Amino acid sequence: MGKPLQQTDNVFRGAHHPVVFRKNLFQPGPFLRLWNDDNPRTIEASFIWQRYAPALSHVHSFGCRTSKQRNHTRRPDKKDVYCGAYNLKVSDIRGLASIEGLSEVATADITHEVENNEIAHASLKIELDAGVHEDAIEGVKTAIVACLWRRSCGPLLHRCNVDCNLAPHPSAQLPLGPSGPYVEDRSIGMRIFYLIRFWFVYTAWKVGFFQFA
Amino acid sequence: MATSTTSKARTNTISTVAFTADTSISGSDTAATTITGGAPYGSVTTTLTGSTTSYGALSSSLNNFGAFSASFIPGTYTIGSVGHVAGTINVSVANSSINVSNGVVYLTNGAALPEISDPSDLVVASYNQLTNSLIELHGLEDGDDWKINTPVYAASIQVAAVLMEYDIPRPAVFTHGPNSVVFNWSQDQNNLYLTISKSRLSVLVSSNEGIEMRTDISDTADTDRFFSALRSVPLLGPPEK
Repeated sequence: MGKPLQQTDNVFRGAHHPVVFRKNLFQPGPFLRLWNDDNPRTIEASFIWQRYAPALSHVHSFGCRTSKQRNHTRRPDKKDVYCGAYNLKVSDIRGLASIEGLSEVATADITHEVENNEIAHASLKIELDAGVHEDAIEGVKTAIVACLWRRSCGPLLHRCNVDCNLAPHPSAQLPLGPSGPYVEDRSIGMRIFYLIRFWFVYTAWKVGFFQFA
Repeated sequence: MATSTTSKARTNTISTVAFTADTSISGSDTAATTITGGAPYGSVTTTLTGSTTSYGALSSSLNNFGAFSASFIPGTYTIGSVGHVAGTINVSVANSSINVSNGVVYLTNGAALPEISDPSDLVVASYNQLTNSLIELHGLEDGDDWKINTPVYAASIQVAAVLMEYDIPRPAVFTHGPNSVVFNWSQDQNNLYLTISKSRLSVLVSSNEGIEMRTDISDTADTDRFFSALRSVPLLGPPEK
């Protein structure tokens, strides 16, 4: 179990072509793809934690690396293209457990869990009530997606270097988030603090000075 | 190119457990036509008239020319005549691949779409595109992010048929993975989601304020009420382009 994120922290979710589009129309379901492979009542998804992606360039680098990794195993006609990211507050994610009309959600939390050597990776884990019938889980996922998408800000558009020649670039199809554009809410001093902390921790982690739990 | 003129006479019932439909397919075209897919696990009662040159085994009772009842399972069947739906529409059938679901015959060959002379046929044409999308999702490779499994495909294609029956504008489509298809209508900040899994329909209406309504459709009475209400809901926007 990783370190819980703070309530006011920001997280980001990358949008990748072609998975989030259907006939050039952005779809929130595939964007917030919720997995429940092992236990049907445990729903998971991946996010990028701002603490270890303190600048937008870090967020986008994460997205481009993810894309590159996916393309190692994909056919050229199924090429993954990172298009940008949307922002959510950790409080919005944890708030899923208390939303009226979504009583099936027992707990919702997001924790820091390094994955694929990505220091900024955070895992969303939603536990559904044990009494939720398996047939009902897909409908609950739709409700979760609708709630999270409603709180999303963005998009923060990006073109990875390898995709600069794409014309048109699919990022142009990303819609405005329902909660409006992303607004940087950290002061300049706080941003500098984030950067210094990140480089200190990142360097110490890379040289093996410590490991994350 | 051979052409047949056909008419429809059917009623639909739908439930969360089994999807059934009655239909009448008639025609006199003798060109070989392939019916692919269909309504897996659904039950179709069909009356077939006209000259049939050959046909595959929908069921053993199909060999009795005329009225038959068949349990329609996925597969490719060949018959000599074919019909279509929604009044009288000329349908070109030569070398066309068509899909039968919930008693509705869909052309999947874009070159053979019916001519549209009646405004109500616009919904039919629009739903042909939706049906094609669902066929495409079902036909994707295993592991594809948008791939849906066969029971979900069967359920979704029949729900689409019922939506068309009620003249509901075509929805946008997305998936959560192989176990469900979500039909989505949106207008302004309002969204209506219909989540279709193999044995359940879940309805969600959301707005900027949050979740406005959630319900599961559990029996035929609920289904009729839902689709009747859906028809009059003002939030239904235009279908995806």
